Amino acid sequence: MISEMKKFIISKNELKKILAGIVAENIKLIAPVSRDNAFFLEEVSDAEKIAWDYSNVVKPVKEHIFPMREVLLDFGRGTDPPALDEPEARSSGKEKNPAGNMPPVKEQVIFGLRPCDARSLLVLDKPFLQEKYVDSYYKERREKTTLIAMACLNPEKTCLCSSFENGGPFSSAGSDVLCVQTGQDEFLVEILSEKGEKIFKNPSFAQPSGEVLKKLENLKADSEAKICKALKVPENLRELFEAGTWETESLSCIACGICRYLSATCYCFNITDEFEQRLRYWIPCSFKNYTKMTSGEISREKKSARFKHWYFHKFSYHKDNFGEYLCVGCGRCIKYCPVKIDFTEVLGKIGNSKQEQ
Amino acid sequence: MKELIDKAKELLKEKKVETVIGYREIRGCVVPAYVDSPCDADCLIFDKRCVYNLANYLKWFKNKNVALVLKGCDAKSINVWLQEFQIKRENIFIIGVECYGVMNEKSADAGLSDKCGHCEAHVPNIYDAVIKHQGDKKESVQGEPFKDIQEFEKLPHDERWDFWKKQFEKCIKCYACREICPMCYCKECIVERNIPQWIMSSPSVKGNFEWNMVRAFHLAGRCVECGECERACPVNIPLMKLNKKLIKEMKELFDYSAGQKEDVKSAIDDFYPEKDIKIDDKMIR
Repeated sequence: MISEMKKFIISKNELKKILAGIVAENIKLIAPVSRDNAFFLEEVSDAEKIAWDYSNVVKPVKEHIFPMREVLLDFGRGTDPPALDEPEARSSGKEKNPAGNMPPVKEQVIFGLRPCDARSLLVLDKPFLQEKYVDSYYKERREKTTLIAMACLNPEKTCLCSSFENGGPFSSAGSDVLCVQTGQDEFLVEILSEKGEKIFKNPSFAQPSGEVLKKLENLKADSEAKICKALKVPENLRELFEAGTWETESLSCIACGICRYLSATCYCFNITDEFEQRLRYWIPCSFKNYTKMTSGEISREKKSARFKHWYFHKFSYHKDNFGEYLCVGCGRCIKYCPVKIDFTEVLGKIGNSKQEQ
Repeated sequence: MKELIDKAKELLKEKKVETVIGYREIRGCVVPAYVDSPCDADCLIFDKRCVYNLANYLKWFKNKNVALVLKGCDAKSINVWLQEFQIKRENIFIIGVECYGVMNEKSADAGLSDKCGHCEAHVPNIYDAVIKHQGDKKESVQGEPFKDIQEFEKLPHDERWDFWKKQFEKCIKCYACREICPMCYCKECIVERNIPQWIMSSPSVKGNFEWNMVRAFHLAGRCVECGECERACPVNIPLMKLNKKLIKEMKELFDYSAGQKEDVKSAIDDFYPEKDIKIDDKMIR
């Protein structure tokens, strides 16, 4: 049960103190940090290193629940794979865990993720935690994670989170705690789950005044007004599979993996053995070898076929299987595309195209 | 602009080319444009927002007649393609554009890109038609082009190692640097070979080092400094630092710069140890 006092006001220093308390309790704290003019969600050991003036982080939050590279099995013959700095490590046989004894997953608190990212985990839960096929690796990390989201006051021009049901720059969907910066040194904190309550257990924080709640409404309206993109998926998308527009729209695509890797919701992976470990790691459907079979056959050899597949997975197949689009509108695929392809525009053009016979 | 549009229309009308690949503006952004018919050619533009190296699209238009709008730096990649027998000169029509710098998309003040600072190719060194620059012609900054590399070289080994380790930690192996590079045209990239596997395909720091080293070395004597890899990198790895180091080595050891002429042998194709290596401290270092 969540206690009655769900919303309260807190200063930046108090918030930092709470975050420092998380580190002190030996819980992994993940927060936005600045690196070379970009922001990343990374483990921090010092609350002072947390960045506050970011619009969003480059890599979506999925990397902390469904890592880019994850060891599934360890055949451990007693040696570690050669470390980067020590080419001789393999022969020197560093001691390590016996076979199959995987390092335990630590509890973690992710602070400062945006509402779109928090919601992306709700979307990812469906394929990973289906009744029949539960992914135990994902499940363990997901259960051990607490999400403290930070509402977006300044969405970017590539954002489109408000196009989705229960989405939006102030959406609390998927978060355990939602913070809103209502003033220079004032945060409105809303506790949304028991997990969240555990973090903010100090009961002495001030209740928000009517004035603050009014400010909240204004900030929310301002923020929502800044979102200028909207998602419009053609209703007959399935019938437009053969449309010639896919070919022309894919001409400028260079078939890199940015839109797939940085998507908050793309979750395709590959499994291979490296050294003495079985790994799974992200792989994007834009690469040719994504559909490479044992025989050498590549079923989506053409660039346009790979381009098209992404749209169909996100806006057709996933909807058929799980009842929602595989997209939360974080806009990263638009922002980071090296040739500035905008998927909302592509969908618009596809919708206007005629089925080719 | 009119000159450019007229040229494109002429080429398409006379059926000299099937497609003109150029730049156009859409919703305030400049994107690559594919123009197939003369009546669509009016969208073509050229200004400092035209950052892309369109020569890269030849990967998908190898045996077709196409016209490309190319800046000086981009046109150099055509020379490398010709030196490496990847395209036939008669298949492509180069609409060269005189250029005095493109913007740096990654900086907030929208100043000129770093690569433009020491540009020597305002006018392309290979073209079939050239579009003159309108407006101010700002000459590039003179001085030592490899100053930043020389300074980096002076740092102690550990510091350089830590620098790259921190950079490559960020790498997500999206291979945008490879896909956007006109010089990366291998049918099967070594990182995609898995029987046997030479390079770890998972994104670990070690695998990331391997990938970025392979990429840089494969561009030695071939990189034309278009800077597209660095621009495309979503995690801001300073890839041109690696490329420029190799450009500097090629210049100092073999007095060779990539993409200058189509009819000379490429550095790798024209290497005779007895003749070419200048044995001095440099080599031993």
